[in-house]
Amino acid sequence: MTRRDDEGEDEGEEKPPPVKPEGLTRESFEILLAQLDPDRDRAGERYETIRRKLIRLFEWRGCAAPEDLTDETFNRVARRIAQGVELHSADPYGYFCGVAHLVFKEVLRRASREHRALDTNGELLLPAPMPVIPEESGDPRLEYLRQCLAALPPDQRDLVLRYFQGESNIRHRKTLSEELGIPMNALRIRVHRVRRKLEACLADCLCRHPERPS
Amino acid sequence: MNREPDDELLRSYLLGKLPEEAADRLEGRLLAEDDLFELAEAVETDLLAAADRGGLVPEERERVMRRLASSPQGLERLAFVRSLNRAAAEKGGNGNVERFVPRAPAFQPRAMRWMAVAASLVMVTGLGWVAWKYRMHPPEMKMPPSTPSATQSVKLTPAPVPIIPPPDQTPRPVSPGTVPSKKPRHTVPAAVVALSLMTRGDDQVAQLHLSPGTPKAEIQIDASALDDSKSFSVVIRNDHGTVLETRGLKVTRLEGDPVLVVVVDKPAQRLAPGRYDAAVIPEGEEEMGTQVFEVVQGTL
Repeated sequence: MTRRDDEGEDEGEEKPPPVKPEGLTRESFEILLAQLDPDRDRAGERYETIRRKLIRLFEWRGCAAPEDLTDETFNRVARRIAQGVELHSADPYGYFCGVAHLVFKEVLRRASREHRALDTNGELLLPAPMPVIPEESGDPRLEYLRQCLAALPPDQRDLVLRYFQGESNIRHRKTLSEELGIPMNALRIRVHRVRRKLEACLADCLCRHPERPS
Repeated sequence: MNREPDDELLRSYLLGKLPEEAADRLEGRLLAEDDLFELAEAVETDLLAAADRGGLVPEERERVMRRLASSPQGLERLAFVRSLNRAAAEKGGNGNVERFVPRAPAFQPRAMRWMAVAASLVMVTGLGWVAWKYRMHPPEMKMPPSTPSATQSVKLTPAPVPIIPPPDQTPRPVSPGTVPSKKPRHTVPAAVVALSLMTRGDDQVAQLHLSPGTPKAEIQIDASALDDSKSFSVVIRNDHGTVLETRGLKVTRLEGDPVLVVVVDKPAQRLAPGRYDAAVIPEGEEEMGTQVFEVVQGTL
């Protein structure tokens, strides 16, 4: 399955055409897009946004194959549309959310039948043990990240470094939000946007030079 | 720090603590509201960063690692956040970003302990002497001179006569060589170590002297940096990062006194000699700070 990157949201960036979910015919996909928005470009953007969000929602629920479950959700919605169901173009999210919940509950039931690990809340747990992150030695991330940080505008660099600084950074963040005169959640979102830029830069560096930087 | 409502809701959702119906409702909003979705991703990053720094209670850290960092994408995010934590720490280490200024304690912990012992001894001795003298030589009651006026006769009420214990209860001098009938019970006092969240670095490591029979150890943590937080947990880790079992740990905040007191029962069994750090975590928040202390084998 093609993994779609969620990072490129800058103005003027040319967006790739929406990728049809597996198991869906071209015709069904076009009908689905038409239901999302009469304008095909805007429909494509909406489709990508919903897709990206559904993947994260399935991830946050602890599902092991979030992209497959997202495709399954789109397939079902497209089938309903083919059967005559109409989405409210102003708010199609509720329908997608309802179908995604059904998909998730089916996964839970299937997992339960297969005696897979379920916790007390009935949530599907990933079978993986506690993850072990490799130490920095041999990992080029830190060096590339330094380069990406250096390429940021100074105010954004200082913002993100101050936000993540210190073993006890609650005070830093409080001070930072007061200095900027914005609520804490607005600060979080502002930092998150800078972080996404950094993440995209780092991914690009790792893609071009996967070995340790010189 | 007060959390904003959505922030708290998202945190619970990401940690898998939200009831099913509430989680479903929130997911509907997450799909429809871009700002809320962005905030959820930001809170996720904060949780990963806090987990990497060891700034969460063990139960929450495990939830973060299992729910948010188990998938390949989650692992990638965790690795990124770890690098970001390190880059930020480097920047802080260069002094370009405001840091907490270490505050040296007014007294060295050892000196404080001896001063406390000396003060207690002086006080106990003084009080004992006063009590003994009072019993042997009760003060005479002196009436103030009466000054009756011409128009008013004042009837003075005699002061109550002090009760003198019967002669057989008065303390008798003990002749040399006499063995008291009841030997005073010898108890090992509780060991105490005082820590301050504002003091950092290894240059002044507080020591907790533990004798084998010490029934309790008190770890007193200056909590004046904790603002208005109402509930806390204290995590005590040894130098291998192993968290001391929390059962038997009693954390109290003294009324009107910004001191957290952690009482550890049977400390000799639970606190082997070595270095530890005590981390204070306000409820629903990240770790406020840690303080290193050292447990050393004491003698009676």
